[in-house]
Amino acid sequence: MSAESAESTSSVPLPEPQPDCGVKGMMDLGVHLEKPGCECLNESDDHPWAHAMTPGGGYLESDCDEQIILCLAYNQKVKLHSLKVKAPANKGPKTIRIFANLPNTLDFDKAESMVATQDLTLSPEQLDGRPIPLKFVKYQNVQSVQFFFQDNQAGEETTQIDYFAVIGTPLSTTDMSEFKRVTGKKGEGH
Amino acid sequence: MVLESTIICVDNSEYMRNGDFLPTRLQAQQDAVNLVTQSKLRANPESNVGLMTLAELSVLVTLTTDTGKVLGKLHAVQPKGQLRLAQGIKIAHLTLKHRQGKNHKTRIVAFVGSPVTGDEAVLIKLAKKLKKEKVSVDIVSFGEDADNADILKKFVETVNGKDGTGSHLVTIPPGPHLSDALISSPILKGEDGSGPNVVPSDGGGFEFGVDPNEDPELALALRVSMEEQRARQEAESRNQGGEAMEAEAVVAPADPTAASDPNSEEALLRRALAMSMEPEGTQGGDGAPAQSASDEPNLAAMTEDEQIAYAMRMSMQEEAGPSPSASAGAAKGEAMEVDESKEDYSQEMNDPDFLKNVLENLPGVDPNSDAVKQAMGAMTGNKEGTKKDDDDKKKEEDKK
Repeated sequence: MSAESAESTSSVPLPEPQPDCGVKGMMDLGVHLEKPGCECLNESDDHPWAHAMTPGGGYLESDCDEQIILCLAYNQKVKLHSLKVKAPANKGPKTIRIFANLPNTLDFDKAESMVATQDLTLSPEQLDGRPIPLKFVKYQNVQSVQFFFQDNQAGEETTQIDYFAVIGTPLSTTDMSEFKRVTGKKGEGH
Repeated sequence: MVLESTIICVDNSEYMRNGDFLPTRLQAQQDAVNLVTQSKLRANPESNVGLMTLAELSVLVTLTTDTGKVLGKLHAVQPKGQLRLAQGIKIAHLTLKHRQGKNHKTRIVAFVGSPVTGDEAVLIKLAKKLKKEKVSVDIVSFGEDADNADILKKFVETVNGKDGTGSHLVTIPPGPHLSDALISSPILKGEDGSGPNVVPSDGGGFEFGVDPNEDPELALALRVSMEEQRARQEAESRNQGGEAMEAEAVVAPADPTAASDPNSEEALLRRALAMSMEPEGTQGGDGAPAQSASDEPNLAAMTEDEQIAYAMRMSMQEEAGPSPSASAGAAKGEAMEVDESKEDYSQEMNDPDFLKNVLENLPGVDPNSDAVKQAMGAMTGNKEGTKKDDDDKKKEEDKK
């Protein structure tokens, strides 16, 4: 964690060794999530979105119907490269609409009508956790991204996602939350 | 301590002129809104409250933590037009989208005091949407509660879903106080079921009838004095218990069970008996003073002569006490003692020569020291109270 943050604050981002990432030169952006800015609509009370951010353990499940809106905010600008989705073959998401840098959370009416940054349709085979490439050029300066899971593979009542990861790389900006004093004391002059 | 953004929707239709809630429905609502605002803002310091009207459909206050802002706008609301619940709630929902942090939970508290018009299907659809977007809706139905009962119940049930408990419908029958009826409602209850942390209008909910938030110092003083009183009572009862134990030991020294287990029923009974007997024992007997301490001889048992002799002995002891320990401080102490019994010694005390004599005889006292001079000056000054004597005194001292 500390090694990564040190990397991200350095001026030249180096390719980081990420054994579980699966894409060369990219990393799992889960560590750069800003939790208070993240939101999920229509998540079930027992299976919130945070469960889908870790590979093991619980899962994210929809509540009233099959649709889910997941809004992820990052604590610095990032580039998105690909997604990884692990889900059961029947209840896994099928159509994903992706919106980058929206000012506030979508509602479900808008999510269906608005022009998305990218529409994805997943096949059941893609739900095993392999990287699903995005249009890399469209996600070069992303602060927040919203995923609208419109329906699921078999038309089930609810949608379930066991693991959801975004692969990408942080832009070489300074992450102010990681900013630390190198020397001297607070309030001390030069 | 739930972190929450709440939009309070006030019904300001013409029905609010009705006087079945005192003084009018609108003013009763103002009280109630004040209560809800306080409750929400105190539940968590970061919680926000907004305010909008349901007839004009205007957002009066966007999400804020400032109670004053909300109340200021609230009191300017005038009854006008018709209630438009569905549109109002949609707008409230939009307002909630602009909350500060996405980690805030969202809630709409709507006051409905006029007949709900419009299609039921529209409302139900709206309720489903709200449920999907995780907005809780509390509805306070008053005034026209009989007409609205069905549709509002369906609405809240739909928002809650199968097993949800986040949304509530509170129906309040006509009465003098809308806000009082709200206090006990689930709308103001904390998530853990604890009561609302707000000020009841009559202050009756507080320990001393005083709001501790308004005057913390007074509340602290009250609490401290209460605790002192409690401690005093405790100490008294313990002392009484102790005396009773002594009495018990005298009365029944040969009871092993009582000795081993002082809390046994028998022991308690005996203690109670002893306590009830005690006052008679101390007060009886020739009207002797009840303050006779336990280490003193029993005055009640003495003849009058003996009592006088005892009293004299006591007074002798008091006088003799300090004189042998003869430091300067002790000399002052003695002077004070003497001062108390002035009818005996006033003559001598007024004579500086005598005083000087006495002081010189005391070992370790320097009659010329400043402290002693001051003490003497003060004493004679008090006694005579005349300037002339003081001057005499000074001359005397100067001679010394």
